[in-house]
Amino acid sequence: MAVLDAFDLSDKVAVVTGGNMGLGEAFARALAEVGASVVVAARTRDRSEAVAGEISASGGKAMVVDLDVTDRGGVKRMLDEVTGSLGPVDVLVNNAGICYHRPAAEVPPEEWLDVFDVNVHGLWYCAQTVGRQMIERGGGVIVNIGSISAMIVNRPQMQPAYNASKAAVHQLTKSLAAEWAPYNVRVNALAPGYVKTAIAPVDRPEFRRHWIEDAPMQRYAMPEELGPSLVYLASDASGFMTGSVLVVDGGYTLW
Amino acid sequence: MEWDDFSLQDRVAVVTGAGGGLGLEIGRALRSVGAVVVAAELNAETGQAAAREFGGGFVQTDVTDPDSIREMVRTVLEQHGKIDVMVNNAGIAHNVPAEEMTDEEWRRMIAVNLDGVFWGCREAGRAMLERGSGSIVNIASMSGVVSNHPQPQAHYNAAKAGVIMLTKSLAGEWASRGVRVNSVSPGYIRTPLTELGMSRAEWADVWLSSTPLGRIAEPREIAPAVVYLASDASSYATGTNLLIDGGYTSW
Repeated sequence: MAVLDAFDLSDKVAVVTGGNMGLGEAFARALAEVGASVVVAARTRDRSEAVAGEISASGGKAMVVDLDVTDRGGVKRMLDEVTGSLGPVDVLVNNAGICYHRPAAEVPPEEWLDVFDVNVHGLWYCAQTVGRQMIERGGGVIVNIGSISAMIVNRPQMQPAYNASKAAVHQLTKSLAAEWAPYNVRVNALAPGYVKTAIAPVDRPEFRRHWIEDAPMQRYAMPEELGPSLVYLASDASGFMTGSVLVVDGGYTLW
Repeated sequence: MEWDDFSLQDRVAVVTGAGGGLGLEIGRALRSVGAVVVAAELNAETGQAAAREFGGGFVQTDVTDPDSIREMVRTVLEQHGKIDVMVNNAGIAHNVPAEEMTDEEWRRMIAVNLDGVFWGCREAGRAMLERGSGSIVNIASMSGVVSNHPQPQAHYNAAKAGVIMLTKSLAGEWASRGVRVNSVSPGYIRTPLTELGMSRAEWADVWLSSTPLGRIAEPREIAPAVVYLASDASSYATGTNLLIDGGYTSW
């Protein structure tokens, strides 16, 4: 058997939340590249349609569904719409996330709640809703996007809510993995380091000292560079892996 | 992302302990994505058989002997001109209660499972640093993260924890010079190393009931992880330990 077959996702249905920008967009493109029918599930429809259009134009399969992960009813409607159009979901990528930079003493209550609503509760709604369908079908793969922020404290910017939310994502990953392994539902997390996206202004000079120079590789990643890691986790290539956190950070957390 | 990211076309890869078990499947997997794979193996018979599949030749290698590793690397460079991928896979298993362990048993385990990995990293690493590129994949174990039971193996667990930290240390030293170093930590896999344990119900029952997926892995299920880490698919990953344990360490 050619080992690459294990990475193939032809005829699979993959949902990417927040799949219309940054890492989510790169994940959607990568999944399409290996054959999956990709659902770009995100808030800004124009942007989602642009991404789906580009995927289709380059020979991939993509559809757009409006989704605000903090709306539990909306998550259910998304699943119904996807299932009706493409069939049940094989791969769920919980990617939608937000971050604010602010010292803990100054974080207003609504900002803290906002971060947890999207990064933890929204991820939970999606995992539970889609997970139920996977359990019923006897299989599926969930990839949660965690972060090195679950393992280390970023600097110089303070982001206590984000860091705590991502630690919750990592441990929820293990909890669901252990609970759903008997149903053949695998749950793993990808923990990126600094990647150039709208929520991580990696090329601003005030961040260079810590974000770049503190990383052994001495550079940040572009979103596309993380695509193959997501494909590894989403496919049979990682068939015996569940409850794991794959760290891809240019070595940041090893120091 | 491109499919090409997973390709090792025209790359030269060395796999230690390539004659059987996980090493054999890793060699086959690297070969299937285009690499020229060299079988470095202590056992001439299994090493030559592997080499016939891999296409990169066989070099008899004792990983406990730094001279043997140095000579192996020299031979590979002479025949193929470079080393792009080094997989330090050779390892042994052994079970003995700590209070009964002999000095020799401890030393033997560390010599193969930890020293052998360092000699492999150092010798292949030198050649890679000279060219400013390379990817090293060390086969560690979940035993470097959790202590197995019921079988006693303090020396094995300590050696594998050493491999994980050695991996991070070398990754830190070499990251800015183009050489990546990562480790794979499998849980229980069906190989000659676990044959004894799987044949003993009192061990196998604990192993399987402690693994959420409820089974042990086949070696070919671990090999794609090595392809991922060896290739450009993981170009931003270094110092990472990839746990593939069926959920074992979640409990």
